[in-house]
Amino acid sequence: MAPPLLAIEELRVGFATEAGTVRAVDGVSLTVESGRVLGVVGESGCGKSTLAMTILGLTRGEGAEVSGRIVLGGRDIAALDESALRRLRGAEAAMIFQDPLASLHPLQRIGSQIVEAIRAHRTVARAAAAARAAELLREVGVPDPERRLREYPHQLSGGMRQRAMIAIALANEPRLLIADEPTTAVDVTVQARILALLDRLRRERGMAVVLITHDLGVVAEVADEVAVMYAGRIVERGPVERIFADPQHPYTWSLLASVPRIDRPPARRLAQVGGRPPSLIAPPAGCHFRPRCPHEFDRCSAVPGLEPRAGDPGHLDRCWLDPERKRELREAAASAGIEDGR
Amino acid sequence: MIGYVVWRLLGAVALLVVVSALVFAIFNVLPAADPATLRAGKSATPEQVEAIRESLGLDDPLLVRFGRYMAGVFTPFEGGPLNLGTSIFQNNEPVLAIVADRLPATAFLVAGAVVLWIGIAVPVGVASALRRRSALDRATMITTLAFVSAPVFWLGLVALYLFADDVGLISVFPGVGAYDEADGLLAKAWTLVLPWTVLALGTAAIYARYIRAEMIGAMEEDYVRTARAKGVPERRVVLNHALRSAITPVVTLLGLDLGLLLAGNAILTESVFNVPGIGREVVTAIDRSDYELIQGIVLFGAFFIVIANLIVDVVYAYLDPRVRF
Repeated sequence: MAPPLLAIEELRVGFATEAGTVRAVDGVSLTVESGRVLGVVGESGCGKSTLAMTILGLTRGEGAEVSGRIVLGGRDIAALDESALRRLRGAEAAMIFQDPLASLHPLQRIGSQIVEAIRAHRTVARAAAAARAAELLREVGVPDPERRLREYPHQLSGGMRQRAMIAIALANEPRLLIADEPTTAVDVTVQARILALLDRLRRERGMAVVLITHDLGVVAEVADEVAVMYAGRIVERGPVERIFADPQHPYTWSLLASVPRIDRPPARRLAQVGGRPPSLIAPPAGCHFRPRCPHEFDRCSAVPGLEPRAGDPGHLDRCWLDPERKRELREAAASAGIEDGR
Repeated sequence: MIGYVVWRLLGAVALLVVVSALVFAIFNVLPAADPATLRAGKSATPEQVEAIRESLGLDDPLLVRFGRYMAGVFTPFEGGPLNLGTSIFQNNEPVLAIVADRLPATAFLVAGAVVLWIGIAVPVGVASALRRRSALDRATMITTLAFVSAPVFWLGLVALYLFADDVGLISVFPGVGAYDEADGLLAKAWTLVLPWTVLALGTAAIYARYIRAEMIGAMEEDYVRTARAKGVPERRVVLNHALRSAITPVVTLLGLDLGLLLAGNAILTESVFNVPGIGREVVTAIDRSDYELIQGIVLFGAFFIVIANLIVDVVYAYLDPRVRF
């Protein structure tokens, strides 16, 4: 098998603050293959956006201490200098962000923002770049692209703005697209269309997508693989169907339990993950989820490795609990949940 | 955009009418010196004063005088439009002619100062913002604070004491009153080097601090991150994305400051260096109680500020498309 397009190994990102170093990403390893979507899920502040920004080298300017390897297409981009990184950003790997209104320049026309992305990496005449920009808008499903090119972001709807952001990201045909909460700021019907668009683009272009989200519904819809992040670490990773059918980590369980399900009787109250995420300056020793975990026991004071424990070599987790014991616990919780729902 | 400009234009005209009425009220309704007495001179008899009063139409009811005044300012009647009155002490010379005579010196002074202060403030503010909390930033902030706090008349006198070619420790630049004597644009410009610097430094300091604050905010905007993610070179990220946003509110400030300075706010600098501009004319007029001249200049200044405001609004709408809708 060909090596994966993106391979991250033991990535650590820390920010020095007066209170101490914030370990936003604490030893993350993952891989993504061309044409596949990796969903990275976790709650706010778990380090998933820092992870996304670091892949493009965007955390460097903020004084982050980065270690580990980020291999994109056989090249360790964590070791690149700033000018090589700049040539890579927007060309080989592109990114779209959560709030398209804030992420587009409010004082520049949509057209010139797309043209700028094209001309940052290729020597093309302005007119040719503008024609290409219209073509890109059409490809991402923006009607009447010639008119939109002349408009400003505030004149577009939320969905059209995110499509324009995607057009900017596609300008140089990147092999990797990082989407940081791309549908959080848009309403549900627009969300479905944006996700369908991303799905189509990766199939047509064979583009790898890292989809950062807090929304398991989004993950279920488009991801092939899932990485669940908690307090800077990946606590569970595997194919999407395995994660939903046979989740191994108690944190994943509580995430899944907090999602409303149409195929289950309505619960009076959705489950929430109890407690608060730990401080990333002084996280708990051992398993980071330990203080919030109802199943904590003596082994949890040591950090569990990310290993295949559920019998599937592609399904890894960081939990010391015996897989048999996990199954029992989950079955008990499920029946209790159904009873509770009535 | 055209609709917006027309709308603002109508607003500006309405404002001009209101401002004119206010100026009239300040000088004619509120207690002030009697123009007829002033004009008649010290040794005039009461009859002579009465005669002058009648010839000036000061006997007429307030509303009639107001009508005449407004007609003079806004219509072709009563010596208008733009009849700002006449100066008693300058052979009944129309105020507009005096202003027109003084404006070039003020405009020259202000124009040079603006170029200087923007030329200083933008690079200093941007450099400070990009290296926030560095030694350079701290030194800049302290220096600018000093210049913000220094009064213009003091700065002017210090400048003369140090650099003027007559009284200065190091004679480099022409000193007080050189502007009148200089012939030709270049020679006059040379005499304005000290006034330009003195007028610009304080404002440059304020602008540098303002631009720094705006730049710090702009550099943290999501769209700056987007520009970096596109692979745009950092220099272009700073200039085309962050500075483009940060400079927009500065334009507003600049327009208002320009209007104020042209309308006579350069009064201290003009007085210290004896530059024959509007500001110095106001000082002279106040000295002599040249009541009509003061009223005329105040009205002219108000007009200038209203127009400066109008221009600022239109330029702002051009710079920020969100305003137009």
